[in-house]
Amino acid sequence: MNKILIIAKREIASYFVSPVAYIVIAVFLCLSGYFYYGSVIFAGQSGMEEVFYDMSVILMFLTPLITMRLIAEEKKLGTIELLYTAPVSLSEVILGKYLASVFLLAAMLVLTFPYPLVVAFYSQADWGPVFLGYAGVFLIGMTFLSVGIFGSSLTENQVIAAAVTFTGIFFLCAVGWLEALIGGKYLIYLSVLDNLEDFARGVLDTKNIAFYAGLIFTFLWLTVRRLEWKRW
Amino acid sequence: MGQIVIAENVTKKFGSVRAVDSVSFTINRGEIVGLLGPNGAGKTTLMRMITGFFPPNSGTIRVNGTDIFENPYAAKKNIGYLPESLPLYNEMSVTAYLEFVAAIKEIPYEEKYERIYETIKSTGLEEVSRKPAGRLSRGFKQRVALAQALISDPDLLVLDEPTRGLDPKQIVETRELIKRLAGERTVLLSSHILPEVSMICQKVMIIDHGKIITVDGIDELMKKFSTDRLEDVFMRLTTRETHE
Repeated sequence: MNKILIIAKREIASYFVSPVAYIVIAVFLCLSGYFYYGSVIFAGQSGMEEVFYDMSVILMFLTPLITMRLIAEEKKLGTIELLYTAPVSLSEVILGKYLASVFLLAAMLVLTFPYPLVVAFYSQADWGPVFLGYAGVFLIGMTFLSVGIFGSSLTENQVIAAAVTFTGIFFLCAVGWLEALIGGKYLIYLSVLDNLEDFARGVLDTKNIAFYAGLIFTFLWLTVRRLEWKRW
Repeated sequence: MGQIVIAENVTKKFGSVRAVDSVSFTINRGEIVGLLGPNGAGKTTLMRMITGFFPPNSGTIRVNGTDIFENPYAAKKNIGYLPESLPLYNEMSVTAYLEFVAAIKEIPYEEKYERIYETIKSTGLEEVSRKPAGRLSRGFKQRVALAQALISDPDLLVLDEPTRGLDPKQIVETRELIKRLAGERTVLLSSHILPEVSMICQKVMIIDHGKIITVDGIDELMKKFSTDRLEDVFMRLTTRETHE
């Protein structure tokens, strides 16, 4: 079996043995369900734009909880010594762990599929924007997770890892606000939440996809570099 | 036969401190070598370089003829390593943990379960094999970590203080286990307990301030210092340096 998958499998098992995965999923479903009820059912709308936007905001807060243990815990427990001395490369370790967190994200999103199904049951559903909305949230979630795994590689303290991750994610989302301060119209392209509004409206630009893929790659690369540079 | 570990001019610096200072040595196949030295002498650092945990600043280490940093995949498969702090995932059962280690060490699927079964048997873990590692006593945890090192049936075993934290009965059992496991294998172990080293090992390597002071057979050393206790040899060789 491929080493990346071996690492990912162990990591996923460890998510679901501890309460972490269940709590994160439960919180995500509670909050997104609340926003779904408010903006779709209660308001009598059939569009899900706002729900996707709210999901990404919830992910901002939940991502640090998902990723904080990924590397920090291995450092603390000393299990990282096993990985460093095993015939497995650091890139494989990092990708495996990242994949596990992406799996958890995917599970969270799949569990919200009843939302559009309910809409489809009562009215004419427009599946295009729904599909794009999910793709957008997934892409943004993956970006947040890549920031999180980097945050986790910086320390052996999970609380610090979570704090660093949240700061990083918040900055990514809020970079558009700087526009008002320093001017220029390019920062808004970088701002994650502004992009999401486009996704939710059903506009999926290849420029955006490339931008997120670039961010994800950069953070995963930084994580590998960081662990190569400082082994303890 | 021949040499399984060849280290040449190995230096490891942490900041300006030379934890290991241009050390050269060889370990012959089938030997049980004790690595001795005061705390902070560089034992763990040296072991971490042999096992590929981190690279030296200069010098080369070859295990089984392969440079551990140029070709880590090939070299690491043949090394079993028991680190000082036990690398256990608390939530995983002993069997699941060994399966994981077997998988990353590329043990073929057909042999995997037989290897796990044999290792569990030889380390005496049958009764706890389904329990999560975090719930085990220190002695069992130590054995799980040892089982992890043995799972790939490696040619070279590197054991960093294998009897640390065990009760007297477990210490005796672990010693017997190491002796029994040695057989064809080469074992490099570090320890603070000198009688233990003289009981298990044929050869000792004494390290202090990052330098190897002596490498010799235990009997030869005792003859040289005309004593029958390894302690005397150790004290005379190391205190000279620490009081400088």
